[in-house]
Amino acid sequence: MQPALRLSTLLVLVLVLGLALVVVAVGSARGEASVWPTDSWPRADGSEPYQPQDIEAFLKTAFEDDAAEFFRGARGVVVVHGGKLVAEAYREAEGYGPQSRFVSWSEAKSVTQALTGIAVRKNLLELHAPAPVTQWQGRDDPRAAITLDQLLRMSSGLEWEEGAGGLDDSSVMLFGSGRRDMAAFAADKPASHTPGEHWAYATGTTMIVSGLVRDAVGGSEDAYRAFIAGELLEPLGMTSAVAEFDPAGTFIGGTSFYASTRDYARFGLLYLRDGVWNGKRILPEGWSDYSRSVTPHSDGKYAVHFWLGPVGEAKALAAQGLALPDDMYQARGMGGQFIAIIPSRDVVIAYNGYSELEDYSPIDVYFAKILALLTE
Amino acid sequence: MLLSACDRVEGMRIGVNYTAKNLCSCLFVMERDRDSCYGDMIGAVERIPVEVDTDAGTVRASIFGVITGEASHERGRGCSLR
Repeated sequence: MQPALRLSTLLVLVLVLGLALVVVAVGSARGEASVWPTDSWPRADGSEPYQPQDIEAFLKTAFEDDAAEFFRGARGVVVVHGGKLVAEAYREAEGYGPQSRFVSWSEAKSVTQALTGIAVRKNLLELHAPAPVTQWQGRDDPRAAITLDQLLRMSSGLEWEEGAGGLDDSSVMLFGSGRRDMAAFAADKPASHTPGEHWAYATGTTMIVSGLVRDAVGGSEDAYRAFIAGELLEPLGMTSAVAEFDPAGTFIGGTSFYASTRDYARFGLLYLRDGVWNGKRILPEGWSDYSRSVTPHSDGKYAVHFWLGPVGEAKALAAQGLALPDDMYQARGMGGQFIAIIPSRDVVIAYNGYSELEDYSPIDVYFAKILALLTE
Repeated sequence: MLLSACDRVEGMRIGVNYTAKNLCSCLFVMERDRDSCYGDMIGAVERIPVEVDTDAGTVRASIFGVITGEASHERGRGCSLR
């Protein structure tokens, strides 16, 4: 009896141990994805092949006097690797820090894209069907064929003049006669190209999309705000975020979102993790891949309310012995706002600053050097 | 002539609204000081007179006292133009 008992005990032990090993193995296979920022953000823990303080020291070079002119307005930068906050830096001399809120400008377009994705996941909007814009439903209106996908790809073919000042369409929409109902102002523009055959970056297009999301989630500002908070900001813990609206109840999703650099990085991490946040699906399955799929006629530079590739020429980077991965995509905003998502490197970099320079390409060098440091 | 007069009025309206809205968001959403805020705005608007009411969270910008833009802040909701 005794040996038999021992044998069965041993068998049970082996089984339990085996099960435990399987659980551990599955856990570590998901290890990277299981690190999430909650109230606090897990930091580098010493298991990395680099010293986090080296990354931080490099980030701070942007705030030094001998940095490229573009960085004179650098204010905040956050680097996320493997879901962990490995380094961050702020222009503390001007009072900026982890709690500072920064204006998105056009980074907001990518936030609007996320809201659209959520509405698609909830079957409130259809991506490849003609967009249900009221003004376009008249008989023989060529705009009736424009799909939500074409809007997200800035390929509606609608007339639009995008500029940074004067009487261009974006200024008139944001601050002039279009300001009371921005989505309607943009949707009232006539068709000037066949949908899908012409790429033209237009803040008005994002406002049309934002208007569609508004109508899909209830039509009022309060309903839209509840949707943004409940479906995106609260699940991700983007506690600093503020969204501004026009008087028609539409999120000014082309330009007017505010958040800390850390919260912009959280937003990037959602895309890096394929639209899933800590076990909860936020964006539709495959939405991240869709988000970075190239839009025809954009010279390979634009995807789906996200940008592709470096800001400047890849050749210029290569001349310095640097490169940025081909799978990188970015949310970008005026003055120098960036959320770079790099799936092949499991990295998100968020940057906020203000520069009046036309050429933002110094950011390419900065990001490429950060990535190089992350492998050392 | 008429068109150009309309354009000038619209241009001034854009100027006062741009000033009121961006200054409001910078002061009350980003919680920065006025000099810092103007540093991020197009230079031409520095000459537009503004009245800031910090308690009420409003910014009023006007040209000749006639063309006026007013933005107000509501906690958690940002600034909006009146």
